[in-house]
Amino acid sequence: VTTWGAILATAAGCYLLKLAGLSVPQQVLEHPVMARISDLLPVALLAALAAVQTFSTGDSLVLDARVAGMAVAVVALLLRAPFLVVVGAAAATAALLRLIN
Amino acid sequence: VTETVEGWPSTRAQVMRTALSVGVATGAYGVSFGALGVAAGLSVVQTCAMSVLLFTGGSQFALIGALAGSVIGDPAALGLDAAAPAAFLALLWPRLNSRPTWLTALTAALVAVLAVPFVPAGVPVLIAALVPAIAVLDRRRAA
Repeated sequence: VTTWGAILATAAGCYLLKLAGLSVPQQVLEHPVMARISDLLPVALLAALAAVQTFSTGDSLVLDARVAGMAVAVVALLLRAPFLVVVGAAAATAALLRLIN
Repeated sequence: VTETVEGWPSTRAQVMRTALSVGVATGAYGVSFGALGVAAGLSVVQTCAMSVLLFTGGSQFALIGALAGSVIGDPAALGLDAAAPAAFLALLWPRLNSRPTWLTALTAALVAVLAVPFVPAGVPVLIAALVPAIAVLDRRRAA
Protein backbone atom coordinates (compact mmCIF):
# COMPACT_ATOMS: atom_id res chain seq x y z
CA VAL A 1 0.00 0.00 0.00
CA THR A 2 2.82 2.41 0.87
CA THR A 3 4.51 1.77 -2.49
CA TRP A 4 1.24 2.48 -4.29
CA GLY A 5 0.81 5.61 -2.19
CA ALA A 6 4.30 6.78 -3.14
CA ILE A 7 3.68 6.10 -6.85
CA LEU A 8 0.35 7.98 -6.87
CA ALA A 9 1.67 10.87 -4.78
CA THR A 10 4.68 11.25 -7.08
CA ALA A 11 2.40 11.13 -10.13
CA ALA A 12 0.15 13.83 -8.66
CA GLY A 13 3.21 15.92 -7.79
CA CYS A 14 4.56 15.60 -11.35
CA TYR A 15 1.29 16.78 -12.89
CA LEU A 16 1.07 19.72 -10.47
CA LEU A 17 4.65 20.64 -11.32
CA LYS A 18 3.89 20.56 -15.05
CA LEU A 19 0.77 22.66 -14.41
CA ALA A 20 2.80 25.13 -12.36
CA GLY A 21 5.30 25.41 -15.21
CA LEU A 22 2.50 26.22 -17.67
CA SER A 23 1.07 28.95 -15.44
CA VAL A 24 4.33 30.89 -15.09
CA PRO A 25 3.86 34.29 -16.82
CA GLN A 26 5.57 34.66 -20.19
CA GLN A 27 7.58 37.73 -19.15
CA VAL A 28 9.18 35.82 -16.26
CA LEU A 29 10.28 33.10 -18.68
CA GLU A 30 11.63 35.66 -21.14
CA HIS A 31 13.72 37.42 -18.52
CA PRO A 32 17.39 36.93 -19.55
CA VAL A 33 18.43 35.50 -16.19
CA MET A 34 15.58 32.96 -16.20
CA ALA A 35 16.28 32.09 -19.83
CA ARG A 36 19.96 31.45 -19.03
CA ILE A 37 19.12 29.33 -15.98
CA SER A 38 16.52 27.24 -17.80
CA ASP A 39 19.05 26.78 -20.62
CA LEU A 40 21.58 25.28 -18.22
CA LEU A 41 19.10 23.32 -16.08
CA PRO A 42 18.86 20.24 -18.34
CA VAL A 43 22.66 20.19 -18.55
CA ALA A 44 22.98 20.13 -14.75
CA LEU A 45 20.23 17.52 -14.32
CA LEU A 46 21.54 15.17 -17.00
CA ALA A 47 25.13 15.47 -15.72
CA ALA A 48 24.02 14.84 -12.12
CA LEU A 49 21.84 11.86 -13.10
CA ALA A 50 24.62 10.31 -15.19
CA ALA A 51 27.21 10.82 -12.43
CA VAL A 52 25.03 9.55 -9.57
CA GLN A 53 23.93 6.46 -11.52
CA THR A 54 27.53 5.70 -12.46
CA PHE A 55 29.24 6.17 -9.11
CA SER A 56 26.65 5.27 -6.48
CA THR A 57 24.45 2.47 -5.20
CA GLY A 58 21.87 3.61 -2.68
CA ASP A 59 23.67 6.07 -0.42
CA SER A 60 27.22 4.84 -0.90
CA LEU A 61 29.78 5.74 -3.55
CA VAL A 62 31.06 2.73 -5.50
CA LEU A 63 33.40 2.08 -8.39
CA ASP A 64 32.27 -0.94 -10.39
CA ALA A 65 31.74 -2.17 -13.96
CA ARG A 66 29.45 0.80 -14.66
CA VAL A 67 32.48 3.14 -14.69
CA ALA A 68 34.06 1.08 -17.47
CA GLY A 69 30.72 1.13 -19.29
CA MET A 70 30.64 4.93 -19.08
CA ALA A 71 34.24 5.18 -20.34
CA VAL A 72 33.24 3.13 -23.38
CA ALA A 73 30.17 5.36 -23.81
CA VAL A 74 32.43 8.44 -23.89
CA VAL A 75 34.63 6.84 -26.57
CA ALA A 76 31.53 5.94 -28.58
CA LEU A 77 30.25 9.51 -28.30
CA LEU A 78 33.63 10.90 -29.41
CA LEU A 79 33.37 8.61 -32.45
CA ARG A 80 29.92 10.10 -33.11
CA ALA A 81 28.18 6.78 -32.65
CA PRO A 82 24.35 6.85 -32.67
CA PHE A 83 22.43 6.91 -29.36
CA LEU A 84 21.58 3.21 -29.31
CA VAL A 85 25.16 2.14 -30.03
CA VAL A 86 26.39 4.32 -27.14
CA VAL A 87 23.87 2.83 -24.69
CA GLY A 88 24.36 -0.72 -25.99
CA ALA A 89 28.16 -0.48 -25.80
CA ALA A 90 28.01 0.74 -22.19
CA ALA A 91 25.65 -2.05 -21.16
CA ALA A 92 27.65 -4.72 -23.02
CA THR A 93 30.92 -3.54 -21.43
CA ALA A 94 29.49 -3.70 -17.90
CA ALA A 95 27.86 -7.08 -18.54
CA LEU A 96 31.05 -8.52 -20.04
CA LEU A 97 33.23 -7.31 -17.15
CA ARG A 98 30.84 -8.89 -14.64
CA LEU A 99 30.81 -12.12 -16.62
CA ILE A 100 34.62 -12.28 -16.53
CA ASN A 101 34.84 -11.53 -12.81
CA VAL B 1 8.31 16.80 -50.17
CA THR B 2 6.61 20.12 -49.84
CA GLU B 3 8.60 22.20 -47.44
CA THR B 4 12.09 21.91 -45.98
CA VAL B 5 13.04 23.36 -42.64
CA GLU B 6 16.73 23.93 -41.96
CA GLY B 7 18.17 20.96 -40.10
CA TRP B 8 14.97 18.92 -40.21
CA PRO B 9 14.52 15.68 -42.14
CA SER B 10 12.98 16.44 -45.50
CA THR B 11 12.40 13.22 -47.40
CA ARG B 12 10.01 10.45 -46.44
CA ALA B 13 12.93 8.05 -45.97
CA GLN B 14 14.66 10.46 -43.60
CA VAL B 15 11.48 10.94 -41.58
CA MET B 16 10.98 7.18 -41.35
CA ARG B 17 14.60 6.62 -40.32
CA THR B 18 14.45 9.31 -37.63
CA ALA B 19 11.09 8.10 -36.32
CA LEU B 20 12.32 4.53 -36.20
CA SER B 21 15.49 5.40 -34.29
CA VAL B 22 13.55 7.47 -31.75
CA GLY B 23 11.12 4.58 -31.36
CA VAL B 24 13.84 1.99 -30.88
CA ALA B 25 15.71 4.24 -28.41
CA THR B 26 12.56 4.90 -26.38
CA GLY B 27 11.77 1.19 -26.48
CA ALA B 28 15.23 0.25 -25.23
CA TYR B 29 14.91 2.74 -22.42
CA GLY B 30 11.46 1.38 -21.57
CA VAL B 31 12.78 -2.17 -21.40
CA SER B 32 15.62 -1.19 -19.07
CA PHE B 33 13.26 0.89 -16.91
CA GLY B 34 10.91 -2.07 -16.58
CA ALA B 35 13.72 -4.45 -15.65
CA LEU B 36 15.19 -2.00 -13.12
CA GLY B 37 11.75 -1.31 -11.62
CA VAL B 38 11.13 -4.97 -10.92
CA ALA B 39 14.68 -5.43 -9.67
CA ALA B 40 14.12 -2.52 -7.25
CA GLY B 41 11.26 -4.44 -5.67
CA LEU B 42 8.21 -3.02 -7.45
CA SER B 43 5.59 -5.40 -8.82
CA VAL B 44 4.99 -5.64 -12.57
CA VAL B 45 1.76 -3.64 -12.23
CA GLN B 46 3.45 -0.96 -10.09
CA THR B 47 6.28 -0.61 -12.60
CA CYS B 48 3.78 -0.15 -15.42
CA ALA B 49 1.74 2.31 -13.34
CA MET B 50 4.87 4.40 -12.82
CA SER B 51 5.63 4.32 -16.52
CA VAL B 52 2.07 5.29 -17.47
CA LEU B 53 1.41 7.88 -14.78
CA LEU B 54 4.85 9.44 -14.40
CA PHE B 55 6.85 9.17 -17.56
CA THR B 56 3.87 9.14 -19.91
CA GLY B 57 5.78 7.36 -22.63
CA GLY B 58 7.33 4.05 -23.60
CA SER B 59 5.00 2.28 -21.18
CA GLN B 60 4.38 -0.69 -23.43
CA PHE B 61 8.10 -1.40 -23.42
CA ALA B 62 8.31 -1.04 -19.64
CA LEU B 63 5.86 -3.95 -19.44
CA ILE B 64 8.17 -6.08 -21.58
CA GLY B 65 11.14 -5.14 -19.41
CA ALA B 66 9.22 -5.76 -16.20
CA LEU B 67 8.13 -9.19 -17.39
CA ALA B 68 11.63 -9.96 -18.65
CA GLY B 69 13.13 -8.62 -15.43
CA SER B 70 11.01 -10.87 -13.27
CA VAL B 71 12.32 -13.81 -15.31
CA ILE B 72 15.98 -12.76 -15.59
CA GLY B 73 16.19 -11.53 -12.02
CA ASP B 74 19.34 -9.42 -12.10
CA PRO B 75 19.47 -6.57 -14.63
CA ALA B 76 23.03 -5.79 -13.51
CA ALA B 77 24.13 -9.02 -15.20
CA LEU B 78 22.92 -7.54 -18.49
CA GLY B 79 24.59 -4.21 -17.79
CA LEU B 80 21.22 -2.45 -17.73
CA ASP B 81 22.36 -0.37 -14.74
CA ALA B 82 25.15 0.97 -16.97
CA ALA B 83 22.72 1.64 -19.81
CA ALA B 84 20.77 4.30 -17.88
CA PRO B 85 23.71 6.65 -17.08
CA ALA B 86 25.07 6.12 -20.61
CA ALA B 87 21.68 7.22 -21.99
CA PHE B 88 21.76 10.37 -19.85
CA LEU B 89 25.33 11.08 -20.99
CA ALA B 90 24.33 10.62 -24.63
CA LEU B 91 21.46 13.09 -24.15
CA LEU B 92 23.82 15.53 -22.43
CA TRP B 93 26.59 15.26 -25.03
CA PRO B 94 25.19 17.52 -27.81
CA ARG B 95 24.57 20.28 -25.25
CA LEU B 96 28.22 20.43 -24.18
CA ASN B 97 29.15 23.02 -26.80
CA SER B 98 30.56 25.85 -24.69
CA ARG B 99 32.69 26.55 -21.63
CA PRO B 100 29.75 27.52 -19.39
CA THR B 101 27.85 24.31 -20.23
CA TRP B 102 30.93 22.17 -19.56
CA LEU B 103 31.51 23.95 -16.26
CA THR B 104 27.85 23.54 -15.29
CA ALA B 105 27.86 19.84 -16.18
CA LEU B 106 31.08 19.07 -14.30
CA THR B 107 30.05 21.08 -11.24
CA ALA B 108 26.58 19.52 -11.13
CA ALA B 109 28.03 16.01 -11.48
CA LEU B 110 30.59 16.64 -8.72
CA VAL B 111 28.05 18.23 -6.36
CA ALA B 112 25.60 15.35 -6.87
CA VAL B 113 28.20 12.62 -6.32
CA LEU B 114 29.60 14.34 -3.21
CA ALA B 115 26.07 14.65 -1.76
CA VAL B 116 25.25 10.94 -2.21
CA PRO B 117 26.51 9.68 1.21
CA PHE B 118 24.78 12.46 3.15
CA VAL B 119 21.23 12.73 1.80
CA PRO B 120 18.46 10.26 0.80
CA ALA B 121 18.44 8.82 -2.75
CA GLY B 122 17.13 11.28 -5.32
CA VAL B 123 18.09 14.38 -3.33
CA PRO B 124 21.66 14.69 -4.79
CA VAL B 125 20.18 15.40 -8.23
CA LEU B 126 17.83 18.01 -6.76
CA ILE B 127 20.78 19.73 -5.07
CA ALA B 128 22.70 19.69 -8.35
CA ALA B 129 19.69 21.37 -9.98
CA LEU B 130 20.56 24.50 -7.97
CA VAL B 131 23.94 24.78 -9.72
CA PRO B 132 22.73 26.74 -12.81
CA ALA B 133 20.83 29.28 -10.70
CA ILE B 134 23.80 29.86 -8.39
CA ALA B 135 26.23 30.06 -11.32
CA VAL B 136 24.11 32.50 -13.35
CA LEU B 137 23.25 34.77 -10.41
CA ASP B 138 26.84 34.77 -9.15
CA ARG B 139 28.17 35.64 -12.59
CA ARG B 140 25.64 38.46 -12.85
CA ARG B 141 26.65 39.88 -9.48
CA ALA B 142 30.35 39.70 -10.42
CA ALA B 143 29.71 41.44 -13.74
